[in-house]
Amino acid sequence: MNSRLFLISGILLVGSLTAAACGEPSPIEPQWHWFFYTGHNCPAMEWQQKLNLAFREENITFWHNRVKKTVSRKEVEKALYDVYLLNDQTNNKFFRYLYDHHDTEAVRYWTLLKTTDTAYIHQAVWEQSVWYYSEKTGERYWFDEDDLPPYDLSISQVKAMNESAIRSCTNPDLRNRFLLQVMRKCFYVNDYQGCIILWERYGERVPESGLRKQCLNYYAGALRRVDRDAEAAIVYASIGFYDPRLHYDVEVLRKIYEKEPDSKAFEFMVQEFVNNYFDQSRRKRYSPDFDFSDPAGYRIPDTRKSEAFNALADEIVRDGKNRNPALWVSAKAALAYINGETDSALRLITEANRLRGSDAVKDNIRMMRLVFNSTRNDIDAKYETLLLPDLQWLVRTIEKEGVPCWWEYDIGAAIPEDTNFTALHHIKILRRTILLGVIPHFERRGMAFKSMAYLNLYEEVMMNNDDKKEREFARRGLLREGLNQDGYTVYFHPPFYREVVLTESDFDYLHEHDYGTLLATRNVQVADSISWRKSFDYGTMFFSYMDTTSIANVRQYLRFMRSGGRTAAEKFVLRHSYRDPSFYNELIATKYMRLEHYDSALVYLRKMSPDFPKKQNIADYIGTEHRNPFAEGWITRKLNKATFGLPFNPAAEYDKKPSKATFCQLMLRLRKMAETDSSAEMRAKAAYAYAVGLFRSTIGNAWALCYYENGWNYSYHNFGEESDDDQSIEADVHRRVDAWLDKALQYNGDYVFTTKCKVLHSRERKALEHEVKKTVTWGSYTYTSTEKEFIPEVRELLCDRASDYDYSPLCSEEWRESVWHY
Amino acid sequence: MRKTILMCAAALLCLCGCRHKNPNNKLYSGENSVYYWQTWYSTNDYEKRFLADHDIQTMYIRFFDVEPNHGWNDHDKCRPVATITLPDDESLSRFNVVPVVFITPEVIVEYESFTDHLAHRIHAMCVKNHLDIKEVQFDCDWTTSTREAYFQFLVEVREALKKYFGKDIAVSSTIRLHQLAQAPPAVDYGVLMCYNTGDFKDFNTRNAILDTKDVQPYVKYLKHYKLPLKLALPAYSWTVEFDAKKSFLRLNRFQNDYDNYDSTMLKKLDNGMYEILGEVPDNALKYIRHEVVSAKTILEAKDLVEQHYGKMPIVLYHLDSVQLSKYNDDELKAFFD
Repeated sequence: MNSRLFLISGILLVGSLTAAACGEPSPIEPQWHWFFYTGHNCPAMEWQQKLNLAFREENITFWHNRVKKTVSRKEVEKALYDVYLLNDQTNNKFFRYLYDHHDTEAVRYWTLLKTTDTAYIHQAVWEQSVWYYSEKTGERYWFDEDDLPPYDLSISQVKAMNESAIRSCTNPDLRNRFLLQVMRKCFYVNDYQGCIILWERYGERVPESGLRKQCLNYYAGALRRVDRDAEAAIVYASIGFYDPRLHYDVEVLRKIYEKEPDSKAFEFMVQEFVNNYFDQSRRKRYSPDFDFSDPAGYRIPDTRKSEAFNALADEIVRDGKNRNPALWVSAKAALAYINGETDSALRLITEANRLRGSDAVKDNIRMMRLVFNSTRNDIDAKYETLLLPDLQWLVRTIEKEGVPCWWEYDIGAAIPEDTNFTALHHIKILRRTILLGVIPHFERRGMAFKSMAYLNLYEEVMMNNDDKKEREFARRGLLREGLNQDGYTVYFHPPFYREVVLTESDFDYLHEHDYGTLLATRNVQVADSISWRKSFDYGTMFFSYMDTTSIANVRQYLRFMRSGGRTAAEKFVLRHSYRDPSFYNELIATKYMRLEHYDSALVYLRKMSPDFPKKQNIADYIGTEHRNPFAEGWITRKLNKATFGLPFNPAAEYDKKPSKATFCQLMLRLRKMAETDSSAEMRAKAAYAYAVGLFRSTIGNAWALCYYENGWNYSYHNFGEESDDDQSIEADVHRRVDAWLDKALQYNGDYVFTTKCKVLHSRERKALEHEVKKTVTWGSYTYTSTEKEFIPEVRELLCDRASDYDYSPLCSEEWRESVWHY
Repeated sequence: MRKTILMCAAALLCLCGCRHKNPNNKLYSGENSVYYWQTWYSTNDYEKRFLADHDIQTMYIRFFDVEPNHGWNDHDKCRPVATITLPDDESLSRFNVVPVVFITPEVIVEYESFTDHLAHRIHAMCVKNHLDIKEVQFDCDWTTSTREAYFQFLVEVREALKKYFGKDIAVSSTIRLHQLAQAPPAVDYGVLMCYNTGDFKDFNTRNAILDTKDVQPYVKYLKHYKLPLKLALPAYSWTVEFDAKKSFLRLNRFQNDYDNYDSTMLKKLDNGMYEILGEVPDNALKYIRHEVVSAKTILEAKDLVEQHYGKMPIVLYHLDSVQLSKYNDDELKAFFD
């Protein structure tokens, strides 16, 4: 690298160092706990940035005043953060002023800073970092060379120069700046003891300021790194930061208590203790000694920790020196709950509620009580009444705070700086209550309509602005495109569910707690990329539940919804319902269609408002030509000329007015013909046409008639993995189709007709197949597999027929695709 | 400058070439030695007893490897990886510790001027861990095409070590069998690796760790090899895995007791080969070759080499109770004898 480039890169690096290195490296964001989040809004990055920015402003102001504001503030800023490391600063008005006005103290400061920073950057950060091996004894090892700390060849000299300046500098402002510089350098060469000693030696005199906070930040960071967590926690708390990386074990909490019995930091620290305890209970599941046969095995971590905490909490409550006793008792309740001691948890949370506590703790107690009660299995009649006050409060709170547009799918990704973590916690508690408490409660009692009611409430409350827009677009029939909140055009991907319902981590959690079944059977998908906006109403867990439960359950739910509820709890939950009758009628009709109850389906389709289908994102798929249910897709995708040898052409009839109702009418007509026509040939051909419609509308290319997502591929698959259910449902479709084809095959038709029937017939088809070896190359792997194909005679027949249907002759690839994917 | 270095290298090479098998060199003594080739130094009771019983004086400890630094910034073209964590206590103080650094030929050829960093790091590790060393060993699978660069590197690193340690630090090098056919490097002595003799990726290889048939072609070079040599003998085992097409899949250093497997799952073939019964996909694990070298083979190889070279100090590769315990005390004694 040439020297100029090196210099430029160096300056850029310095720029970033002065901006970013003025604070300790940012800690990770607080983890996503379902439980016991007292509501500290302490996103670390935001805090760090604020701290840095505050100091930057203060620093610029200081130097701006130093040159009596004769130089523009911008020029000062440039000097401080960009120019000071250049070989020649004479072009900068700020430095020019210092030189010209013989501000020797300041010139000395900047000269020394330039010298030491240059050495530091050159040696500590720049060239040799990966080769660094600390010679200091007692220092921790690092295991990954990617994470090596900087090199410290002459850092001791750098430190000595700075420390000497601290001692000799008469100007307190400059002296304090030297202190910050040398603490920073110590910190970045892992000389934490040095950093601590410096602060303890010189820090007392630093006045309250952004600079002091910066110094304290390094000081606390250094304390943390030499395992003085308790002191670090107190220092951090004094500058308004609660570091989630600290291990707030009982001993740390005790030390803090002894030093500052009413520390405000306790809310955060106790929260961290409980959450860590909770995490350990989860991690145990993955430990080698975990007993998978023990369903409660994951629940109990090291109870000695909870016992030690309880002892400390009792002592603190007894002492009366802490003005937040409710915090400690509610934490005891939380630990008891994690340990599976639900009765104790309920007793303790009631006790905590009677004690004095901050607003955050009192709110937290309400949420904990809601969570505890929601999982109670010992009450039936009073269950909803018990939940009602806290649930009402939580719903009201969420409605007031609003639901961020990103929250569901961005967990684990970048969290916006202005995130209100307390609000987020409220959302999580609602989710936990409904999904892990209320729904399992009603599922156990076979009350699916109640499950649906609460899911409906959950989805309605959780609607964010994007969701509301989606529903509004749908209402206006504008599903296909619209503008998002940033003004960009968003295209709606017609048939698909909104993919975003729960995150992967949610699933992990739910499965760990044996609640995965609910979601697995209800077909909830893991969040993935969102390249398309989806139709909200067809992308909710509520819809998934209704889509996959029995018709009787859906009808019972509708009756319940129409009743308006008897109790206050029922009235409350039903007030949060989506109430478009067409939405429900259309769904019930579709569910009947899956069962071939086309007459019942027609009853519900007629109840639907005529323009409702246009509001569905599925509409386009139903009208698409190649998705005509009577097109013999394995022969050609375009079969307008097909007549099936019948007096009427079902494909053409469908094309005239493609809709679910048309399809139902045609299927009823075909069924009648297949069952009652006097001609055996007509009966056979109608049976074949019916089989085609049945197959195509369920697991074929016209799946949009009976499903809201890609046929069986979605509606029966869970999380992309095949299950027994998938196979059994697919087998069921084949069985039904085969039954109609058996009728068709009773008629000894021409060779083409018979062969077509056999091709569609799951059993008969096997006689038309033979095995062909295929070699597939995937990356560096080459696989040889054996695949089934139709025998050449059938293949030739079908290909030849294809040309009759005004479709370009099917080459082998296309042919294969159309045969096997229908 | 480059020319000067090359000339120095040549001169040193000549000097080394003048040495014979029994130099007046304290480093090249007959004391028993072992390699330590793991990333965390820790010895269990067996290993401690082994070190005492066999009077191990010298420990060749792999400090770190140097690898190309793909994807790193431009200034760190190669970098150390897998650095060993050395003990906090004094457990190494009674040994003559020889740091060993494994370097890939690619690093030597493609990257220059890292010898200073390398020497400084070895120095830093010795300072931190209170090791007073006299020698550093380099392990590199150099070939004809990379020989010149490696030899030059050895000259440069010797200078760099002197700079940091403030004294002459001897330099030794591992010598692989195929390297015997080449001129020796400019080092104080070499350690002939009498292992990894075969191509472990080849399904037909009987034993890639050591097969005297594989050693045989190279022993002819020993008689006139102009560098004092120690002999490193293998005391390790591994399993090599192949798919149904007998293509190499992976090398597995974990120990399994294949003989006690369910015979309906695993069938023992000849030469330590096992077959997984039942149908498996073409690219899945089908054959396992468990390679372990018998004491007899090790002693045969030792005899073979010494017949052509004369008596050699022995370095056992490597200190690991799991591996060493496969041999009885008499056998272990015979290795060093």
